[in-house]
Amino acid sequence: MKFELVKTIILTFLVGLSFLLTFAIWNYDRSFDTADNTDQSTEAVLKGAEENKESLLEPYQMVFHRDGTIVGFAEKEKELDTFQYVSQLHLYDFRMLDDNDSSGESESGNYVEIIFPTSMPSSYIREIFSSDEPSEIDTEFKSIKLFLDQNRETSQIIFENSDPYGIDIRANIQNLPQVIKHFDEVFTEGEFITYLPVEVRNDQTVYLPQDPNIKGKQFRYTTINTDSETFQSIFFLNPQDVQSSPNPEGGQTYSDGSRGMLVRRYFMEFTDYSTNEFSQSNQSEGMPLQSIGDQLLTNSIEHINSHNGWLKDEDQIEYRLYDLDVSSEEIEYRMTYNNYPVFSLNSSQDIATMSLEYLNGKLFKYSRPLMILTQSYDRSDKKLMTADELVSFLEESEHYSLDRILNIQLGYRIEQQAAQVFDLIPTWSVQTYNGWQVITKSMVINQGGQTNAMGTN
Amino acid sequence: MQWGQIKTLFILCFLILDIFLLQQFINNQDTVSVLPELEFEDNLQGNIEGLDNIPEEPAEAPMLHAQRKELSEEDLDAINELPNQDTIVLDNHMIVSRLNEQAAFNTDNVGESITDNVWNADNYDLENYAYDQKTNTYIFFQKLDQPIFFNISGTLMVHVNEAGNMAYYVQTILEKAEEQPEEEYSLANPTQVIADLYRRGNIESGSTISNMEFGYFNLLQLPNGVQVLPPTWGVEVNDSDYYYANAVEGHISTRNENDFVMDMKEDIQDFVLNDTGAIQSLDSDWEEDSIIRFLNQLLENMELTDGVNKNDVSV
Repeated sequence: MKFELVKTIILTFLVGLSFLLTFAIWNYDRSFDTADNTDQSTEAVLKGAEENKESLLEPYQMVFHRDGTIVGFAEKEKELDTFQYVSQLHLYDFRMLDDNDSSGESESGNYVEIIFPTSMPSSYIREIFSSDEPSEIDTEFKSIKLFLDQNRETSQIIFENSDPYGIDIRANIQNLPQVIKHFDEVFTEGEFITYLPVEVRNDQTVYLPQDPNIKGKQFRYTTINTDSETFQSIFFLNPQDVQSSPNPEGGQTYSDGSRGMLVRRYFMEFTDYSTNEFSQSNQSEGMPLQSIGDQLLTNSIEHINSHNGWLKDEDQIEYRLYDLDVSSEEIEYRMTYNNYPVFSLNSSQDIATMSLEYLNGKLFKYSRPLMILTQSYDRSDKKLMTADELVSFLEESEHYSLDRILNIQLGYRIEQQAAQVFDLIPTWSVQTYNGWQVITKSMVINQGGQTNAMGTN
Repeated sequence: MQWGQIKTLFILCFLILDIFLLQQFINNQDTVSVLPELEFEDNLQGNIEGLDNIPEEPAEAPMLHAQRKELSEEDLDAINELPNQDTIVLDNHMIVSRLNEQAAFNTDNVGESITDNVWNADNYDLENYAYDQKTNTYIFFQKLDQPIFFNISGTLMVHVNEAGNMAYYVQTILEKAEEQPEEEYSLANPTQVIADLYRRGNIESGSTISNMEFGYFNLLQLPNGVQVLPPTWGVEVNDSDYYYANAVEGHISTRNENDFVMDMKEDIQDFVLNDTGAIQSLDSDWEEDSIIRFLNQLLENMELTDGVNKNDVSV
């Protein structure tokens, strides 16, 4: 009997010990010293907001192909509400689109085309859609085609690559009839305008609103004092050591010997010269491009969030992912107003974008505007060229040729015509390999014979 | 009775489980107790020569604020009195001097050749210098108490021609800014810097640390206004490669002699192309056309490779 008691005690002890050990291993925390403490100190903040992936990964255009016509919302901001709806759809059965899936045939039917500003890695699909079954296919996509066809059994939604020879992804939508019903309602209730399809480089089609009707705006603004130590502590480890001197090409340069910040009026460019081939990389070489793309997006958003760097005051002003170059580790976010992109005339002082460049996963360059647009007022109406007029201008132009144009967008150009305000002026903008170029009135006049096309500005 | 047997069985099971868990737990502990730094130091001893050259001091230092020295009338007079040379001054801060009589450049004792011919030569580190073989140029770093490594505004570049004579030199001078920062930073351990370079593969096994010294070095050198120079460990490997470790933040960069000469060339070129008004000759007989010709020839010389200088600047 006594022996049994001893056994009970041993058993209890062993059970207890196993619990304890399990608990200890479970809670074991590898308290690595974070060697990466050299990251910028970012306690200081700007007056802006934080952003998340969903709101930065939004389309710039939504085009409805319906009974042979191509139309879009008259009020462009409605595109975002509709996109919100689309992003909540439940997708399944992600597959690679085969050549024999002949999506072209069904394109004669009704479908919605959602176009993004730039090609993105397919892994971003899971940032946009709340799908349980993320796509594992490593490719890129620039637009989404959602087919409103009850009889379509596969490829109800296609993520299209901008490269005609690239891989497309197809998937199916749960409860398609409900979706079709929703879009029928959208279509009967909404106001629509006609789009003109134009073929540009690589047989890509861009859609231009036939008769653009967008209103110019004027904004009051506030600026940021770049001399303050709080501001400098966003970019420099030891702001008390920062010295500034006038830059020979205009503006002011701030430096702590290892980093430089060039400030020109409402624009700044920060460069961390200590990020070079010797900086220890956070990522291993040979990392798949897709994960570099993920890291670029996450790191850049985290970096700008860390100092509340998304300077926007009005609801209609947003920032959007507009350019992503995974091989050179560059990412660019562009200001939009009512879902129209904003362009800057002066590419050396681009106040319409925030762009970040990384080297081996470490921030190397960061340029951004330094003003925050606040109250807005209407600007007097100006007549803009129609899509047809623009196309004939481009065709006749010595400067441009449609087969060298990558994209054409309707948006605003940001300009300071009076000291107190910034103007957002409706503009056509053309993207070539040299970047975005705004089509100005003087360009049209110089070409001659079309002075009336643009009207007065 | 049966319950007793089950208990024995349970005891055995839990005993095995506990042994396994204990082993896991101990393994986890072990992974932390490894100190890679110690291993590295041992490793260094065996693989790298010249570890005696690693200095121990200082452990703390402030940043250095310095600016370009603008030459005063007295300075210019003193420079003008130097023998055997025609001197021009660019934008009141850069001295370019052509030696008229062939001054032999003694490679065994460079200090001597320089002290005789250069104004304030003792402001430069005449012992630890860099040499650009491509342009046959000797590069001396200015000292503001400590050496300032590879700074375009504080250097002396001496070009030696085929005959082994000093042909011309370019001199720039930094001075301490009036306000100096007070905060002292504790500096990275120099041995750790070498271990870092070794770990990254910049120093290979069998290499020699030919020199390591404390000084100041910056990555962004503003031409005007006050420059911020962080405390830096300058490491010279095998007499040919230069690494600069920021002693406050730890990041490492490298500089190449020829790139530095090319930077200087660009600076001079900028004056010749865009700002001839800033070129001032200390010798009133030296005509402007001739000065520009001299500078163009000098620029051409800086471009030459492998030390073969067919068009050496002559009198």
